[in-house]
Amino acid sequence: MSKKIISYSEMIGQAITSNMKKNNKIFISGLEIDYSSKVFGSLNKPFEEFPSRFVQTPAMENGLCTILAGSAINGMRPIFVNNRCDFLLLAFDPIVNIIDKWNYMFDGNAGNCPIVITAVIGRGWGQGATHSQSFHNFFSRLSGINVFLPTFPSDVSRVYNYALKTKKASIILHHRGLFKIKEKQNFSKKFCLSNIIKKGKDLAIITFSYGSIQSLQVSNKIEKKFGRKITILNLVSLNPLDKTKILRVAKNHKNILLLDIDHDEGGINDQIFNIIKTNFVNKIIKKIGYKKIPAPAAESLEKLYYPSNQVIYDIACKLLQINHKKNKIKTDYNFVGPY
Amino acid sequence: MIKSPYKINKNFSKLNPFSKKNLLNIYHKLYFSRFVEEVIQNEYPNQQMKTPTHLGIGQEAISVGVCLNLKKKDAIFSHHRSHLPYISSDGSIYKLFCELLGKKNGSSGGKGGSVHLCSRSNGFYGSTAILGQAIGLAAGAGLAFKLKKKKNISVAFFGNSSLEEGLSFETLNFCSLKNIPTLFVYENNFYSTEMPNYKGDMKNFNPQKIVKGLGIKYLKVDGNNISDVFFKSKYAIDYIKKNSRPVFIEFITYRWLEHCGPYYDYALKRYYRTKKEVMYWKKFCPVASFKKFLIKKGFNKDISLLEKKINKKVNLIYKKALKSKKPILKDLQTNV
Repeated sequence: MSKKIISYSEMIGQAITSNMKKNNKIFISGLEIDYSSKVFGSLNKPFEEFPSRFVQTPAMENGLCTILAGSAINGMRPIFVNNRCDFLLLAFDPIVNIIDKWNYMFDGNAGNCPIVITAVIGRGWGQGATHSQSFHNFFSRLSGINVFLPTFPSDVSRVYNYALKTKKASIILHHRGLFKIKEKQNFSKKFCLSNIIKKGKDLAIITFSYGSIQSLQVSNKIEKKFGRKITILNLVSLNPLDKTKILRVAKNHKNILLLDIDHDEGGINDQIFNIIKTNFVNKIIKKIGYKKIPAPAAESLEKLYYPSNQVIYDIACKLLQINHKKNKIKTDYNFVGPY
Repeated sequence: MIKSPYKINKNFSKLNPFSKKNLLNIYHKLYFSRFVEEVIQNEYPNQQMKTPTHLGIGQEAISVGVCLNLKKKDAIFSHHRSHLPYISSDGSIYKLFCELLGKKNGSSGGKGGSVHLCSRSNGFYGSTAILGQAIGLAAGAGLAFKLKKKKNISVAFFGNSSLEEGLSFETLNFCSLKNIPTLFVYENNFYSTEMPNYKGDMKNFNPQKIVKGLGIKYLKVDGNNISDVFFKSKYAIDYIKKNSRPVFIEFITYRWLEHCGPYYDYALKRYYRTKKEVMYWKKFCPVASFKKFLIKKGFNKDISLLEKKINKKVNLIYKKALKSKKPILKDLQTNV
């Protein structure tokens, strides 16, 4: 196995390219896919190797997603790339009414619709209400689509290898804050719905995507400062949800913290809360997510809207009954603009 | 009242070189489509088919004429008025009846209903109930043929409302820009459900200008004349294959029955169109006018034999479908 260090962004490109080499039915389509930035560099490699398998289009998310679904039904494996998750709203009809249900509503007789939809969750700075949203909580309610939010390059590799082979459609959401995350390329290739990225006994954090990065930063600090060990369960897939692993983690921890990168109410946090409480009534569970308001644009308000490392740190310390008041933790999000 | 721009009982002289067998085959397809829909129409009030059903009686010539020119490996998508393209592509009638009756042997295992039919082996990829989707999906199937370097084409059957959706124009634009081999079959029956397109605000809606403006070849055809439908769609399909360009055909036709259900609008006292108008359009019946042509040719006996045979066969199939098994608990969560 190679020990080369690879970034999240490069891993997307590498995973797509290696699958394209093996399967000539894979092609890439979307707006801006052949722009110089290549979706934060993630499409550099596939474009270098297979420029003819890029279908650049006008702005037409609804039409394009329907068309790509049609191509998938007719044997192709399209990757529908979106620079912002928010624009996927324009494609909700084909996602919900075609891709999600195609197999079921024809009872498997009309073939599969194995499209892969990728989108970036656009939080940078000042992205505001309509360029920073993630719809993983909505997508996870559907029955016929996998929803993946890879955190590390290793997750990216496994998710793409799986999504580009399975008969089901997949939505892969990439948080903008992850594209520069680096990892040694000696990881296991076995696909898993979730993985424990840190083992402890005092507290369990169940989270995903950028939440896993924040949780790592917070738990490293707590471990260093107070010697308390925290388990982090990184959910790579929100649909299907790894209930077995969630319950196993819950069983071994008295205190559990749930961290979403969307509104706290009515989403995956509540779902996991219910799963745990139904099985273990006495567990102490805290939830962290965004307030139920749109994302503001101003920097001062953004800082209040997105749960900072300090917020997570404070709540984690409280659960661990550590007197934490005087401790400060560096805020995490080091985004450099312009957009 | 909307009138046809075409003459009643136009002649079918272009079909004269066809052999008796071929002509009777065309009539078989027309009459078969009509009779199957009539069986559904007559049985529907018995409340055994518990699925909203959009009958296409009066529009048979379009799907019959277009499908006669297709190959088994071409891809057909249809909107909610799906029975006729399904039947014309040789989809199993037993499976159609079973689907409408909510039986496990239905074309979609009883999970789809009237609007979600499929017959993949016959090229009928599926029908959808959300307006415009058939247009996008067919374009996608066309894109797949293009990427796979196959010579096949895809076909979208759709009506007035579907064309009004934004999705349709995005798709048409895409197909023109990307040279997608798709035939767009616009069944203009003058009504988007109950909204007429020939008066009021909608009369300025001009598909021809839009389609041509997007650089797509546009044809306007008498959709009630099987000869015109057959030859014009043949021309269109040859054009698509030769030039790798999409073609859009506006077929003028008329839906006899209500938008959804087995009754005449006037019988239900719906006011958006009159009995007089429906009676006028019945004179353009695509089945009767072609039959008249065949009778003139002296095929009387063959026709009545053929009709009797179809009647008997379809009725028997319906009875068989009635006895077919219902899906049960173990089927509920399969093929998610």
